[in-house]
Order: sequence, then structure tokens, then C-alpha cells
Amino acid sequence: MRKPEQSLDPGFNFFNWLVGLAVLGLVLFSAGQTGFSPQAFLEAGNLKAMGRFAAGLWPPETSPDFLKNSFKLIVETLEISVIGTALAICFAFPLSVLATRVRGEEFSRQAQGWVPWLLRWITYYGARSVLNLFRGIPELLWALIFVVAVGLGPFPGVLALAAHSTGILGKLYAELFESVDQRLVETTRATGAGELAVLLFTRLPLSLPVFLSYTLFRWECNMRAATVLGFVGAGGIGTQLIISMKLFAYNEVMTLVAEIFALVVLVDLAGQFLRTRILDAPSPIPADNALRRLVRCLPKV
Amino acid sequence: MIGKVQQSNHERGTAGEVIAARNAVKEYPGGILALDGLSVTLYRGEMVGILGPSGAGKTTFLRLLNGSLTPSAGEIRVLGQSLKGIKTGELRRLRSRMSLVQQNHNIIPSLSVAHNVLMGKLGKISTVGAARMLLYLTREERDEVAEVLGRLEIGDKLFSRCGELSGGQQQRVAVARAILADPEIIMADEPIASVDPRTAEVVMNQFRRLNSLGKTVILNLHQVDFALQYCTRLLVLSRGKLVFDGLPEDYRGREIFERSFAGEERRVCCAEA
Repeated sequence: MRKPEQSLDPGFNFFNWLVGLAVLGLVLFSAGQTGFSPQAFLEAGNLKAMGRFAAGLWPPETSPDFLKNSFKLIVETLEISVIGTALAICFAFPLSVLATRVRGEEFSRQAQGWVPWLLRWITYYGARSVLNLFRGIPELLWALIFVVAVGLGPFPGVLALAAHSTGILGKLYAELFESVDQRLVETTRATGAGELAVLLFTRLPLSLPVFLSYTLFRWECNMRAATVLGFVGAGGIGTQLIISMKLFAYNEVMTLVAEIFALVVLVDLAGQFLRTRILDAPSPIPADNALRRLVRCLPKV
Repeated sequence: MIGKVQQSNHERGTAGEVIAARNAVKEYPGGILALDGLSVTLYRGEMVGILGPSGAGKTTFLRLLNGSLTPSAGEIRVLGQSLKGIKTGELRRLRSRMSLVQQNHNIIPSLSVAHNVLMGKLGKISTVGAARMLLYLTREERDEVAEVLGRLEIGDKLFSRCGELSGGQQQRVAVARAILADPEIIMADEPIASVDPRTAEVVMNQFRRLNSLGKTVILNLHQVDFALQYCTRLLVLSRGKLVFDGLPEDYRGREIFERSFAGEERRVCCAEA
């Protein structure tokens, strides 16, 4: 059944121009309010401070003890990001299922009645609110909260990344599940399948490549975030970074920044490679094939 | 236009009734009237062909029967159960007793053929069972799917990725899914629209075989010749109204008024079919 066609002739739209001017005004106003002034770089006092900092960076600290310690912290940073992301996936997935809006006339209030309809919306908004809460608080603030709750070290860092990423991944997963072709969802429902079976056999397989891509990207973000969690005592390379900064040991800072840069580039490259492989694949890996490949990899007894 | 079928059905009453629509109206947002007071009763064991121009309301009718759409007015009963105010769980149970092959195949391209076909059983198993099926198939399940696919002449595609099949093969996967569900009613929306004439015969023969096993088959078709050859009863819809309900032999050679959505009326002669 075709709907009446909508004209795409743009013509002159006064409202569009008004919105454009309003956005431009907002940008200029914000710049004024935040004291945006590029000439601050050229002020004598600032130039002197920058020169002192730059001069202190070279030569970078290369003593074996320092390198050994910093390498240990880099590995710890990587571990924090891996566990944090894994935990986030575990929490985000079930929350995203609850936060996925189901569409279709059969779910309307007229078709379902008040009580099921209301319960469904309460669940939906409840899950969305939890995700908003997790996402709304930045990682550093979560780290401060968890340092108070469980003490110093990498563990609060893991929890901080997990909490914030749960909010982000949960929302992304839910949006992905919602954006799946509704005709395919309807076809699966037509078999008598419940919503969880629809998720397993339709929403998940159809969104799997983007699902994996988002998850990898979030791991990359967590990797970067993990480098500064140490500023508040939540483990990782940031712990050493803040100490070196406070001691004005800029040559150590230089080494640490170089290590962080190398790690971030490596993780970015790895993520980029994997995401390209996933998105460019002719079609995503079906579960049965993945399982067979896994079984083949296992040692034969 | 009342044919012999309607007369004999009037005498049958509700015995053997599987689908009954009473003044069913479906109006889409925007005021588009897809079904305009449709009343029809379908009986167990019938093989019904629904004909009509695009936009006549054929697809809407099947989606209403499946509960995917709710009527704006009127009542629809399927397998003795009214769809009005039906609870979600009851609707699922009802759906597990009927299959719908939709237009455009609607298969999941990233899953294997076996999984796409086994989706027909989702209404009859638990979510845990569904998850298990996604990870591991039992020997019985493989054999069952292979047997159905073999009947549709794509038995060698059991573990092919569905997205890599041709349009006609995908169509047969969708039909296999409906067959595997072993339902009481099979509904198909243009099931032979994208297949070659020989494959169309293979598919239609499968529907005939299921019909001979006592299942009610309802097919939306554009191919009048296939409808006349295979169906035991024909319904013709035009602008949401039933304009013919009768036996194929009554349809043959008869001129039927069809009114297209452009508002033009035309006579359609079925003699050449």
C-alpha cells in the first residue's frame, strides 16, 4: 500500500535558514562565554612556561627500571580496558534487550490492553533510564566513586570503564536491534516466536557486523580512557603519569606519552583491521560456522 | 458475485470453518482503505487462490489473518478464535498453528539455509531450545530440514548461507520454512512471483501435496493460470472488496469488474487463462 508521495523540491525554506542562524549564534555566544582567545598562546608568560615544559621533555627517560615499571603499567592499562569492555558487554546486552522498542500493531494499546502495554513501556523507559545514568556519568567520575567504594588500584578502573561503557554499548545495541528491517521481524513473529527468539534469529544475526564493530570501537575508546584513570588512583599508566607531572619530571612524561601514543596507535590499527574485516565480509559469520571453526581449533584428545 | 462455493458454504455453516472474516475493514493512517467490509469464510482442506490487482488488499488480508495487523472494524476468527483483543501468548500459540510465506521471501541472509528453515519451528519450542538450535543442530533436525529442502529441489543447499542463494532459491527456502512448521493453515503471499515456470510448478505441487494432507492453503497469486490449475476455490479482490468467490471453472470465461486504485474501472476477461 503506497502512501502519497512527498515532494522533495527544497525551494526557499525560511525555517531552515532560521535554524541555521540560530546554530551559528549559539556557537559564537559559547565561544565568548568560554573565553575563547587563540592569542593566549602568544602571551609572554605562557610562551615562557611552554618553552620550559618543552625543554624538559628531552631527552626522554630511558633507564631500565623506569622502562620496566612503565611497561608493567601499560600492560595493566590494556588489561583494565579488556576486562572493563568485557564486563560492559555482559551488562549492556540484557539491558539493551529491555531497552529495545518493539513495533507493530499487535503491540498497540488497542490490541494489547492497558496493563501489558503500560508494563512494556515502564520496562522500556526503566532500562533506557538506567543506561542514561550509566552513560551520563563520565569514566573519571565513576573512577572516583569506585575508588571510594573498593579502594585504590586497577579494580576501580575496571568498574569505572564497565559502568560508563554499559551505558554507551547498551544504547547502541538497543538502537541497532530497533533499526532491523521490520518486515523480517514480522516474518519471524509470524512463526509464533516470542521476542527473545526474534532477537536470537533475526535482530542479532542482522545486526551482528555493526554490533561487533561498535564493540571493538568501544574497546578502543576504553583503552584511551584507561590511560587517564590513574589520575584519580584507579590504576594503569595514568598513575605514573600524574606522579611524573607533579614532580616536574618532564622527561619521564615524554617517555610515558610516547608509550601511550604507541599503544593507542596499535590498538587503533588492530581495531581498524578487525572492523574492516567484519564490515567488508560478504556476510557475517553464522553461528554454526563459528562454532565449527572453534571446535576445529580445539586440541584433539 | 455469488458462486456455487458460497451457496454450498452457506449450507455448511460453521462446521470445518478455519477462517471467518465478518465485515473486516482495514484503514491505514492517511485514510487509505485497504479492505472495505470483507466477509468470507474459508473451510478446512480448501486450497484458496486470492487474485486481484496490486493494492487490492490481498497482502493486508493475510496480515490481518496472521494478527500482524488489527482490523479497523469488523471481526476475524482464525481456527475458532477471535483475533479481537487476543492476548500475546494466545496469538503466539495460534501463529504456531499457521504459516505465512511473505512477499520478498524475508529470509535472514546471514544465517544458513538450515537455520532459516528451522525458524518455522520457533513457535513450538522454548527460547532455550531456539538458542541451542542456533548453536547446534541435532541429527533429526538436519534430516528433517534436508527432507523438506529435497522436496523443493534445493537439498544440496542445507548449510549454504541464505544471502548467497538466488532469488528463486530464497523463495523456496521461505516455502520450506512454512512446510516444516507443519501448520493447519498455510498462507503464502505471491509464493511463485520470483521463480521460473518449472520451479513454480515444483512449489505449487508442494502446496497441493500439503492440501491433500488436509491442510488449508491460502495463496495470493498474480498468475491466473496457476490459480485455475491448482486452487479449489478462488477469491478475487478489488479495492478491498470481494468481487468474486467461486470455483475456478466458474471464474473461467467470466468477465469481472476490477477497479484499480487510480479509480478506473476495467473489465477483465479470464477466458484466455
